[in-house]
Amino acid sequence: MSGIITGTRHITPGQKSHVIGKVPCGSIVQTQVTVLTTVIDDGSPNSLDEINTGMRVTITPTSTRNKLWMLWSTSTSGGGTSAIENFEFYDVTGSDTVEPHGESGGNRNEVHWGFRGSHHDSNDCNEINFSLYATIARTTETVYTVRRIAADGTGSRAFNYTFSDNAAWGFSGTTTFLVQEIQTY
Amino acid sequence: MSGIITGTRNPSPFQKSHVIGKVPVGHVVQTQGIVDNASLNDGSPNTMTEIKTGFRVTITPTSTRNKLFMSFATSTNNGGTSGIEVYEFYDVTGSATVTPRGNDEGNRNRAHWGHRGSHANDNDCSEICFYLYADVARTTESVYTINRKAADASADRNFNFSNSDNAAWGFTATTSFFIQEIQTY
Repeated sequence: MSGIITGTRHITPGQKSHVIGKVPCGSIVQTQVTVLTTVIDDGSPNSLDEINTGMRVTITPTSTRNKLWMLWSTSTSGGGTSAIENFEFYDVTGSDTVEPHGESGGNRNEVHWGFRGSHHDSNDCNEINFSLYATIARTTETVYTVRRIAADGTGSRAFNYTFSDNAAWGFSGTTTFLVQEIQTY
Repeated sequence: MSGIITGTRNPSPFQKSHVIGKVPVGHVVQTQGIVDNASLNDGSPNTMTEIKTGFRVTITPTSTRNKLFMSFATSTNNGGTSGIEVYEFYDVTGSATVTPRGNDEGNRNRAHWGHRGSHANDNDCSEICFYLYADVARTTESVYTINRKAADASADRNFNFSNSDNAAWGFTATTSFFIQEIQTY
């Protein structure tokens, strides 16, 4: 799919795109999404590690002048009573944190967000959402994921489910990772 | 509104749509949404119950091959000091949880996310947001809403306002629920 779309005035029913010319500035060029329902105990990694390869999104941007709007929304549980974590959008293809990321600030992780949820007890449930208007690194096929580091060794986090199996507040849920290329010129 | 848009080769200055034929892959076919600012104490229902009919969004998708990007963002207060809750996007027309949803995992509620907010005291405020890239169930008019279940009977949750009426941190606010149909073919 291309930001410059060659259309036709005499479309066929199965034709994918019928915009003639470039997608208007600010419009969506393409949307790529993963919805994951697999349950994951991600433990408490002490380095930035990919949460699960099932969360990966693959996209082939049409221009490095465009932008990628990334949205990640996950259902989680656990995290202990003192867990404190960092997360980042990660470019698997380029082996690098997605740009832009946090500026250089001493020993701090240059990532996209930090998180500390409820600390009532080890049953705490949190929905975690974050979005980024990201730079496009290349116009070839690119794989993106989300990575996490947990500072507290007791802070295991369950993604898409609760550790406790109960009908009162236990749940199984979803993670959505959406990447949209936005036309900028 | 239709995913198949009948355009013209010579659009007039005020013509709304100039896409000829089907909306391109990845584009937004239509957006339906609500913004609600009515104060509500939803109590602590011990079964999955609609929060309020004012949160309902009605949409008539154009194709079951497309997807619905659902976005829910609400302002809340309270939840007690031990509240623990489960939420789901719910298909009122089909009387079913929106798919995809959590996997079948024992006694857990097969929903979309769980929530446990801050537990400093019963004044806790939480913004609750969640997103889902959902299946289209049908191409006739469909009504969607948000269901909630609270395991802790003391966990009343206020939507769109703080329980306490004060100028220091008290607030009245908004809930947005919007659904975008995304063209996928």
